[in-house]
Amino acid sequence: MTRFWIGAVIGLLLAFVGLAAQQMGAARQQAIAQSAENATKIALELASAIAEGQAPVTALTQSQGELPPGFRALAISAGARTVLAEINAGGDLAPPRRLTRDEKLYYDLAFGLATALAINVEEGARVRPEINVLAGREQIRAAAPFPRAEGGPGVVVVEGRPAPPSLPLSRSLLAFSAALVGFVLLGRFWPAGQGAKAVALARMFALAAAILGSISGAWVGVLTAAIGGYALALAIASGGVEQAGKTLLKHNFAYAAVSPALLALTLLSFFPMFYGFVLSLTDTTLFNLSQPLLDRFNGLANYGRILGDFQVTTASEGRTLINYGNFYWTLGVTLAWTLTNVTIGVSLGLGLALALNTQGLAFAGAYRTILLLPWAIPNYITALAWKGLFNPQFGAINQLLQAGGLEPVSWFDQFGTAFLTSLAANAWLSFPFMMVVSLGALQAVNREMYEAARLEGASAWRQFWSITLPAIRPALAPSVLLSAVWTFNMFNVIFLVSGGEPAGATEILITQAYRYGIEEYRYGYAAAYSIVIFGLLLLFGLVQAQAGKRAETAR
Amino acid sequence: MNFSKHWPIHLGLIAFIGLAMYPILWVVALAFSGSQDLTLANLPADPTQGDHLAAALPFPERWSLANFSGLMRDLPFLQWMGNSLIVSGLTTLAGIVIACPAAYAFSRFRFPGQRAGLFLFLVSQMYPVVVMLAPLYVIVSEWLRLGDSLWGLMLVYAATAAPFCVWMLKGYFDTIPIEIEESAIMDGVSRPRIFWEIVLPLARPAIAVTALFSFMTAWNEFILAAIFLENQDKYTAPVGLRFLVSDYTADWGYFAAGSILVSLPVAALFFALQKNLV
Repeated sequence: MTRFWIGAVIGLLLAFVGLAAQQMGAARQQAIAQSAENATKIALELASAIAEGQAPVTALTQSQGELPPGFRALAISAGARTVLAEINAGGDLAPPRRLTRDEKLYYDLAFGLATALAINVEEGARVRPEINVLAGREQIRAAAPFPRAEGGPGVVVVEGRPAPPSLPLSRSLLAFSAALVGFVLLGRFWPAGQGAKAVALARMFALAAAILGSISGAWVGVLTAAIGGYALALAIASGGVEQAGKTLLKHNFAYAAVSPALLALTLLSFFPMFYGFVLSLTDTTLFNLSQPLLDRFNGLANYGRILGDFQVTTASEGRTLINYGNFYWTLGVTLAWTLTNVTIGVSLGLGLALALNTQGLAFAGAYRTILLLPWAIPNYITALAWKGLFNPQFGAINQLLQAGGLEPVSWFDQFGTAFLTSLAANAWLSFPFMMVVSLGALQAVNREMYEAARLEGASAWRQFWSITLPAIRPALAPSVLLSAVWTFNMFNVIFLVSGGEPAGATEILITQAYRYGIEEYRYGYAAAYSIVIFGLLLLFGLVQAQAGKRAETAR
Repeated sequence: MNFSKHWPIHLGLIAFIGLAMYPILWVVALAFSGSQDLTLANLPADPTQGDHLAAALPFPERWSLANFSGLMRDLPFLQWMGNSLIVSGLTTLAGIVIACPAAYAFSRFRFPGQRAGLFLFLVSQMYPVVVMLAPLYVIVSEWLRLGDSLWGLMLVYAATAAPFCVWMLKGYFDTIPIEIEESAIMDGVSRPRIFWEIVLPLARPAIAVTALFSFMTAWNEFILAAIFLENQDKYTAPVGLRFLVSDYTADWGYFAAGSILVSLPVAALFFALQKNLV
């Protein structure tokens, strides 16, 4: 009998929670819609007041009184410096600082709207404030642009959170009690044994949920809860849960020991991966996060746009332009980046290791320690330092070029030189790893083989190719593959040194995914991009594992 | 010592070291130059080749500690370092606390799901965190509401550090002879007590190395911190240093001084641990 009760109570609770959540969601949507309307009205009024010169821009922040509680109004005029100064609100001499994510939103908004305004004015259209409402997660932003004679056009932003709706307790309670009554009736008059009872309960439950759902309109939540309750009741009735419980008890220490780590991993690693996959099937952006997932669903469209766009170049006025945003261009850059870096890293590392491995070399330990330094320094510091070294105006490298009587190079203006800057930085920070690995491998090579080779009269070059390289290859191969994967994913160097300049030409896949997701707020598209990257890495891993297996069987 | 015998090798190595050390010397020179300029000497309006050379040679015109004191006085640099210390310390602690028992269970017991679990821990190491940025950002800042908080960062770091810790520690636990535990079981000691009183003390060196590695990783992490942290007083040292030389500011002197202060402890750790690296 206990089983029956457990199944029943859990199923009911599930339905209750599902229904309540759905109800709350509906109420919130309503509140958001209402607030958006209010915010729109206020933004429009403020914008036209500013446009007609009735209110100064700076006065807006003090006009809190007219706004609904929890709302605030901001005015931002276009132009980078003004926006920054006004956002700072500390007056004109406030030091520039990094924009917060919210501010960056306004910044982008002000730019976009002001540009549109300016175009309208140029084309002679009468300028009217137009409203642009963004309802983020529980947050409203209404933005209305205004034209202004002095200080350029700007935008009024009214934003805030609507008051949280209270739980519609009565309706949920009604649903709950309806289900309860049905359950008691059925529990009392169902004749068969326990298992059958649980199944019957689940059936009844699904039915009740469906009826209730059709009344309240909140069918998705109820349906999910009903299916969940049904499955649970089935599991309990068939003894599956009991079986699992027995296994759990038998290995209780092991499971208890593993569960915290597994939980953390699931929550912050596997779930994001799964959620990323779900996002990749939607057109989610920052602005429609609050919409139900189904409304955002757009199937494989993101993948189609990423993988199906083969237009790497455009012909324009007799010139061929490269679309730097194209996936295949970025993929090509990434592969070139990986290949050149690994080649340089292996050659430098192996060369240094060969030198350090010379028998009887004085100070070999000291050399090795000094050469390890680039590895010891955090790589973002290395990257930022190289960014400074390549500074076109004051950087040390251009100073050295000029000291040698050469022209300074504007490093970040062409693809080739910009690529070179990141390459130099990455080569610098990656050679110590290959050096250490090669040195370890070289030290394991049997010295007697060289003696024999020397007696045969083989040259040093010949010894390297015939003895050293075959001997160290097995030890080196995994490290080379590892460094290839590292380079493929080397976000910091590209992001901080070339920063994708010029115009995203030197972006690699992983920095491109960052741009889409974090800078352009296109979460769905960025997620799809990331899944593609993950697929490529997986493919690489599989090919590598296959090759490893083949090498093993060949041996 | 026979220096003259291998002189071409010495010459080559010294030349390469000179080249490779240049960026480091340059940063050190910037740090002690006492100014925020990228050039190490004043460039006149119409510079000669000699002026250019002086601007690039890693010796400042005058030596000064102004950048270090300015960093402490004018910027919340100490707070950034403190934030880094808190986040890295808590991450290490959390990582070790959840990884030790898991690694022990994976090493000692055969239970349903053991192999699958280990495999999962390996898989999560295979994809870079950057690939999960968008979903992770939505989860941490929109769902958990830990967007601009050191706690959120700590959670994410700990979750990414845990698999590494589990694998490292499992490897070590595997080398501890099982006979010790078997005799303890004979004596009727319970599993948790064996783990706590016998295995953990034995594994202390491995735990220390693992902890230091995860501390270093968290201390050096830049991109997640840059995404999650928004307020200046919440920055960790990497975000702060990046902020000093971003698009809007170019305080190269402060950056160089800060880089040295941030790098010294990890570089020292690195050299202490380098035998365990490969």
